[in-house]
Amino acid sequence: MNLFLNQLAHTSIMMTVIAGFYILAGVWMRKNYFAEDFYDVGKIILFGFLIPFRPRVTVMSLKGFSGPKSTVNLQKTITAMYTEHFESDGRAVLPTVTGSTVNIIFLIWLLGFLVVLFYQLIKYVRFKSMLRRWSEDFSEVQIVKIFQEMKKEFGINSELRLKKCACISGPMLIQLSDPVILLTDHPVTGEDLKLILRHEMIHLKRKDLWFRWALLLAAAVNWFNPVIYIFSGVFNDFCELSCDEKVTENMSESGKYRYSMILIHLAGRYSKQGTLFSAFSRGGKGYMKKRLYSIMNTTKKKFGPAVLMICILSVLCAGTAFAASPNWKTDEEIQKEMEEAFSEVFSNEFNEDDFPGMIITYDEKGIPIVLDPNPPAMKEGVYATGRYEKNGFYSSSDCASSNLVFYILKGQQVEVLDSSYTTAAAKVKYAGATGYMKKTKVKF
Amino acid sequence: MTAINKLPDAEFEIMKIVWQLSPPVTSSMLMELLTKEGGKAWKLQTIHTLLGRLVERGFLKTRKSGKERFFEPLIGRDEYLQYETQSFVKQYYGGSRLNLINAMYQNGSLKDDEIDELIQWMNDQRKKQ
Repeated sequence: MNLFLNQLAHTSIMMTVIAGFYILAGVWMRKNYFAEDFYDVGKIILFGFLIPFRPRVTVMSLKGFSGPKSTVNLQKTITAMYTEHFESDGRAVLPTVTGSTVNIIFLIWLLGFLVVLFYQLIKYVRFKSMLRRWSEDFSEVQIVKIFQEMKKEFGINSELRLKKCACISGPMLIQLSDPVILLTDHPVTGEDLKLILRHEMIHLKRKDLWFRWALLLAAAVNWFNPVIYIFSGVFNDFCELSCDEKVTENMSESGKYRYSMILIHLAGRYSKQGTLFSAFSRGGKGYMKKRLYSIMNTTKKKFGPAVLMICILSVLCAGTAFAASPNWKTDEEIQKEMEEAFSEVFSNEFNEDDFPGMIITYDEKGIPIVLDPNPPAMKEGVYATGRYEKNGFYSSSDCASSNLVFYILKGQQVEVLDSSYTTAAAKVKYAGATGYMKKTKVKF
Repeated sequence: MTAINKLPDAEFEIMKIVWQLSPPVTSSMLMELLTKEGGKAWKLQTIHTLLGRLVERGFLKTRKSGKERFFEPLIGRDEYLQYETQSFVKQYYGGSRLNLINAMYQNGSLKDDEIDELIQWMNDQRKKQ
């Protein structure tokens, strides 16, 4: 569970960066490049959001790969930013929060996921129910004939049906299985009808409905990430724009103009008050201009294959840097290790001969105070300093007063050998002696 | 004005036929058209029951003339269509936080002046090219 949440959070953050570039590129470069290419890149990013897991890769040290110890150097550097717990042999693990905290975070995520998913499902079911209510078959022979001809042209099997629906203002394709093209109940015939059907059939052939559902699922998985919602809008924009491109790709200018006029009138004049918008398209004057410009623009270029490759690699790598190292342990394993490490008991007796070179004084109660006048240079590891004037050094992890060996003064540096969020003490080394200190008495 | 509530499916089927016919309508007229269009067999008793409910809901008014009972719609098709679509939009696109994903579904119908503006813009773009 801890592993899943970490992976999800990290991947979502990295995908946010990639999606951010995509969104900005869509704003700045959409006039120069084909919408189809943006749509294809968007699909890769969509799957990056949808599947939070990545292949496990051993992170290489900045100094070069030289064995298991140095492979965790980079990970340790990153975790040191927000962790205070290191194993005694230098292996780093992410902070082990208590089991109840992880459970709570997981339940919150799961609740959000289910709420978002079921809300969208319920909305879709109600939407479909309403469409079904207001739909009827076409009786006009000419329309049915054109529809059948176009199905043959596109190589679409007989499962696709055509209906008219009073409650929509624009044509739409619905249902993953047993798909239906819905037209408005405003009469459309001849070339206009063919263009409209071509648009919806291209959506069907490209399986765009499947991508829409994948997008909903990705949004549910990443419900906590606001960028997924912005990405959703941009992705769907490019879906429509690329479909327009496909419809008009071999058309003359007058053909494109005619198609553009159809779009304008569908969005406006034939849209009745009290009808639903076309379910899978955004509207408004600004959006229509985008569509129209994209249709009429003949100067667009294609992305090179390098762009797609960079996108695929970026998405694959997103979250990989944080993929668990081969040394990743479960919470139970870490807990067991901590218990073993903290079960060690040291000598309770204080002997000045054991502290050569140290300055030893005694407080009013006769308890020794040890001061290292020449603290050793910090090497790889975690260090803390005494927080108060006198900080107890104990022989046992319970830090009972009967196990107090000596005091360490404020600001004196101790090396932390073992610690965990589940323990109240830290196993430390000071002046050559190994023992325990209360975590409340040290500053990491 | 009668307060409109959403009709259950069976009553809606009846109203669809009522709206198709010229008022006033009788139950036998409905029966004939329902069977022809729906394809399934409706019992007359069922139709009577549903008509009664529609009268109670305020969708129909009724009067008896001789042995026959006549029905006329009080709420028009377009009026009810508007009610259903608006309540759907209000419920699912009315600004709830869960509608964040509705970035996909924004309603963007154009006004007449916007349409004229777009056509003009299109023509200008064509001239440029």
